[in-house]
Amino acid sequence: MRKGQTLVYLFIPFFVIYILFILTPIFRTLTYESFSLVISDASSGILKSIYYTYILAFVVAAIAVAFSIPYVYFVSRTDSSLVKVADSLVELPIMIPHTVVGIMMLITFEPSMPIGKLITKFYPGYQFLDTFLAVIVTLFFLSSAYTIRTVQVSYSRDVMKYEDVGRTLGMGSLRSYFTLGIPMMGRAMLRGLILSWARSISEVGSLLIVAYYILPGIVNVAGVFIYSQFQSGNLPGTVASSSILILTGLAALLAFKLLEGKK
Amino acid sequence: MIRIRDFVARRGEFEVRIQELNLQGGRNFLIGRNGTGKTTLLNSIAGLINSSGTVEIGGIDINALPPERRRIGLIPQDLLLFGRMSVNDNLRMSVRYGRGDIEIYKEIVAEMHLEPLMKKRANEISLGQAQRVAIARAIISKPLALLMDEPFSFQDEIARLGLISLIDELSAKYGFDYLYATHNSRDLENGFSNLISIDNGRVIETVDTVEKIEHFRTLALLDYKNLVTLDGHNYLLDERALDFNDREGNEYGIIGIDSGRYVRFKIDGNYFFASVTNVPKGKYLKLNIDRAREIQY
Repeated sequence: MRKGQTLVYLFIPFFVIYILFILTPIFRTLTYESFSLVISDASSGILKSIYYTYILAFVVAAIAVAFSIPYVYFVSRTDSSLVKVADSLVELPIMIPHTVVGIMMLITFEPSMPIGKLITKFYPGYQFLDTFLAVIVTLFFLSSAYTIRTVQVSYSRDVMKYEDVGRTLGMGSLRSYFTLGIPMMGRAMLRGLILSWARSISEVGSLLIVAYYILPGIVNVAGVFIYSQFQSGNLPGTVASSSILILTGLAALLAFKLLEGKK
Repeated sequence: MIRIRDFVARRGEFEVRIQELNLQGGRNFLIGRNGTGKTTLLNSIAGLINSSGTVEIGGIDINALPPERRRIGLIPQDLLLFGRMSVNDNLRMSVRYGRGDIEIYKEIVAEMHLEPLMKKRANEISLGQAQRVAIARAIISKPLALLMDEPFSFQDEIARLGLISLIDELSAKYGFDYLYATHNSRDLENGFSNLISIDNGRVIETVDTVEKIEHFRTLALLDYKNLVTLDGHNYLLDERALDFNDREGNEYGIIGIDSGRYVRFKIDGNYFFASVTNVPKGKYLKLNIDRAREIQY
């Protein structure tokens, strides 16, 4: 640190306290049970849960990224105040209690509900509760805002002006967007993907309502699995499963960060 | 020739409004303080901001056309080279996807000695090199008019005037007019066809020589000397209005030597500057304002 940076030294405790605040519960969880118990808990079904959770969360995040591409273009290139007001709703799902989100999904997409009925007309045999679809739709509702906003900020602040220059060089809007705009948003899209993915993995409340099991009677998403372990009074197993989830999550985040660094 | 009529461009609450602007001749400079509408005007002419009215380039109204069909080149202040692409890819962008010309591309690369840069990434080259690449990229796209938004403002004067001279040369060779936004009077020293002064989204005046400038605001952008504002009136001073004596007036200081000599004095809390030929004698400076020329704001 350079001379004269008193404020930097002064604020070191805040940095340390915050990092410790984050790390302490994680450390406590990882060391609560013996390593051998954690290993033996791997056969409890948590690994399968984590596998499905990560895959489903990735699908949700990928859909959010794919959706963000046309969405941010439209919103950033439109001056309409109506569009701006509608765009402000993007964050709304984040503030709704998650159990409420589960109920909202239930009364919207269940086959017996009006929209569910409409879908059933086009897809006979359509089911919602306890399906992959329920997980994907609910998690998309809850986590897409993270991707949308990350990509949107990057596009409107850093990318649009390059696209504009491309157009003065004679490139059509579509060409300019796909040749210049989208590649320039790569890092933001990856960051959005990580955020939505991470947010989806952590979801429990809404999934307890719409997708307690994602494969009939066998597999829950990780959060629900751990919650059900806790409900059955198995604290050691709960903590062991949590440790596995945390460790695999850390590994996955590290991999994403390395990839982001390379980009 | 660039001709603008009944033109309105809006950006939020800010508005650029031009009733009539005819720019005969290819070397046009747009001068105005920061935030007075230069960028909005240039971006509107390029089609990047919606505007109403008529914008004619070479007699054709382009204002209803999308940017890619206007044949307007734009070099923004931050150049906006595509940083992760090579210089070659930047230069070939308009050839590959737009209206660029491969023959012009080859000529420009050779004439501007860009060959050694071609394989480098655009974000790896120096500012001076990036400015040359930005000029080359715009010209390869075969514009009828080239708009420049203070693209060389971070350069020293030798480099800046050198780049403007290069634009002049290329303009003559490839037959495009240019409109160059600046707030640096030295940029005009190579001469101009038109100087457009803009303030608060309105064109104050358009002149073809500095001597024809009538507005305080324009003069103040070109030089800080010989202008005073007293009691809400604006004056252009010459030496006849400066009375140096030992009896009355304001204290002053002498700055510079020879042809660059001027005096600094303070009236009503504001500093002003006036050119003087010889070292003044006398303790005080009294302004004979009736000998100064009152000019419009």
